[in-house]
Amino acid sequence: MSAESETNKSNIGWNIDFRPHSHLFKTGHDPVSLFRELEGLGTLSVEMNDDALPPFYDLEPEVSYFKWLLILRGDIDESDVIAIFECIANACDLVITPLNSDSKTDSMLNNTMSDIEQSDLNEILASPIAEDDSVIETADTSINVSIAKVDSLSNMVSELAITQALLNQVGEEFTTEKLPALMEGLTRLERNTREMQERVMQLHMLPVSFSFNRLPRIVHDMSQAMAKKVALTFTGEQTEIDKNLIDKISELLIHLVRNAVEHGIELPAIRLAAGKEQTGRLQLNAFHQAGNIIIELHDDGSGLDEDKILSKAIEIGIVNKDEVLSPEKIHQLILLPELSGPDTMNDIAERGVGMDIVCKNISRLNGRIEVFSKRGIGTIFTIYLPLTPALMEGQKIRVADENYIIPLKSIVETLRIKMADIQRIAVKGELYQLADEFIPIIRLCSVFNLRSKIIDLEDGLLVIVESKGSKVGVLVDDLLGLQQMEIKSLETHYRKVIGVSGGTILSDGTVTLVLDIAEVVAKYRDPLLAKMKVNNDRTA
Amino acid sequence: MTVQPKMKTMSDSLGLIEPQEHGTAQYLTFLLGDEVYGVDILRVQEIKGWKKVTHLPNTPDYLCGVLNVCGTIIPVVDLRLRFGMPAHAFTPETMMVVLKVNDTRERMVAIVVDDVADAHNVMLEEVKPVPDFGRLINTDFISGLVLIDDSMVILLNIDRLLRVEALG
Repeated sequence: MSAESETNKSNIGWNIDFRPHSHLFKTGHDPVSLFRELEGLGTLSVEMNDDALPPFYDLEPEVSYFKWLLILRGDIDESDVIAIFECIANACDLVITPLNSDSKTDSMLNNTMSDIEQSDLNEILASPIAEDDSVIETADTSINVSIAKVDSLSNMVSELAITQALLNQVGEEFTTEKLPALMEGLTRLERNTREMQERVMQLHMLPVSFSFNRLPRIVHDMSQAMAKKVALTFTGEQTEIDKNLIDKISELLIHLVRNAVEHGIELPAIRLAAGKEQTGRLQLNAFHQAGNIIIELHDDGSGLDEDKILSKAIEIGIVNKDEVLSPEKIHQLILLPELSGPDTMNDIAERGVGMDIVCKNISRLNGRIEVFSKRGIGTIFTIYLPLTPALMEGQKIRVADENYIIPLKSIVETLRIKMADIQRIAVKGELYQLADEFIPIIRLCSVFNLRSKIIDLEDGLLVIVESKGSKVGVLVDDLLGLQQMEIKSLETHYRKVIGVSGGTILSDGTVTLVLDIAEVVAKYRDPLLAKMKVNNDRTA
Repeated sequence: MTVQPKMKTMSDSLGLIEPQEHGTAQYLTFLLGDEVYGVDILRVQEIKGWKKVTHLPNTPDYLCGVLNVCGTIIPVVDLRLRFGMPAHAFTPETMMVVLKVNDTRERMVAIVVDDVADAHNVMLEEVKPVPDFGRLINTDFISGLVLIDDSMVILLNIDRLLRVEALG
């Protein structure tokens, strides 16, 4: 090897100007591991720029302030370098330039480029906030889609093209003999469109694990700082959820997990004394149920302190002194803004922001949260979120002159009523005996104040649905067909209507309402239930 | 009192929007029985014939239901019932006017009217305030009265009339 090529060799490589966005750590990536990977490719020298680092007291531990200038020497393909940074492409600005090239023009170009970079860098350092804003915007507009999904979509498109060609063929010189072919073509078209619709919807869906990935780190850091032992486990991370929900719920989960580590899980010594294992268990489950995605957070810590919550509630006047509340009722109190607000209960909700923020955010997503706790055993938070705008299947039903849709996922079965199986409580309360269960019958027409011709239960049909773990029977006049639907909110232009989760637009352009079974049940139990009450329930 | 002399058909005014003179506004007028009402034409999104709407449970009778407009679901208000007038059978003349309402955010609401009349330029200085009817008639959602072709037109403040709290 000649001396000349030797010098060339040492000059071959890449200049990598790596400027992570401030939210880099929140994506769960660590620059160090990237640098290690780069080192595997060649000799790496790292120069860090910490000019943007604020004074210690303003320091946000979760924000990335650093920028790096990396020089990677060696005969390396540019694509290899890019591949390493690919996973954080959305979370950094990256400029990769050849270290030194043979031709002069190139090196001149390099110089000017680094000049520009320098001025750019100065600009960016001078205005870190502006930089931040742009980051948020880009984060909103891009989406990572698995190749498999794109492949299946392009397959569908080519099938659609074939169908269209087929229909064209039929359409040219159409004769009545071709009618069966036309019908077949249209059926294919319908199937293609439906499948495509489904798959486009799928593009919005991501595994919920994307919102879990920051949690292990947080649990680790917090438990270290507080000298606690916590083991965090997940199930159902692959449950798919709308992309828009991912970012929003990850904030919520961080909050709940922090609360659980700080206030739920006890110190190892206390746990031992209480006969528990030293290591506290924190379990996060995600699954689909009845058209919802449900996320549960279990901890086996100390549970909620009812006395403390109650005395606080009495102190600030949201509960009367002589009122006797069941433990369940008391647990619900922590979800009220008055109690968990910034000033009132720092010992229950940490960091000044309380459970009410969590609640508000969840109800903004049209979801709800429930809490279940047992002293000394642990606490379970259950978050119910709607799957929308994913496509769902629903059962079209008729009540009086109106059609509604019940989400298929909440339907257990439908049956014709046998008079012999009907039981009554105080005349008004109608029950249906299904095997060994007594199921309350809800007449949808009376919940919605409609005039139904069905008076005898025997003439109607009973749709057995599951709501919050218990079964109820909804009495309807008739069952119509199944319907694919995309639920659209009524709140965009109107407001929440009790018992209705939204509307869906049918192929003829008309709107059909989709029922929210849990709300129908609530309205049946309390006919006076009005708008405000539901809002309270949702935040409570 | 001068009446705006320039009469135009609606299609003229909608097709060729002339630069508006200072101090004037264009209003779309429509009929409810014998009364003529006007709304700011810039708020009008769409005018369409009456179609059956989807009834919403447990809402006031003047809220006919909801309608699909360009893939979103908007509420439909029967203005006759809203104003306590007797209900009217829906005829081929019955129209729905889709309006943009500035509430806490921009929303769309459709109103059902007997017939859509015309578009008019109105000099703002000619708009008269509404006399106070006290508790007899709620005049909060009327922004003023104006004389067009010797007949009185009631100009509506749709932001007040159609805000979400007012829709039950």
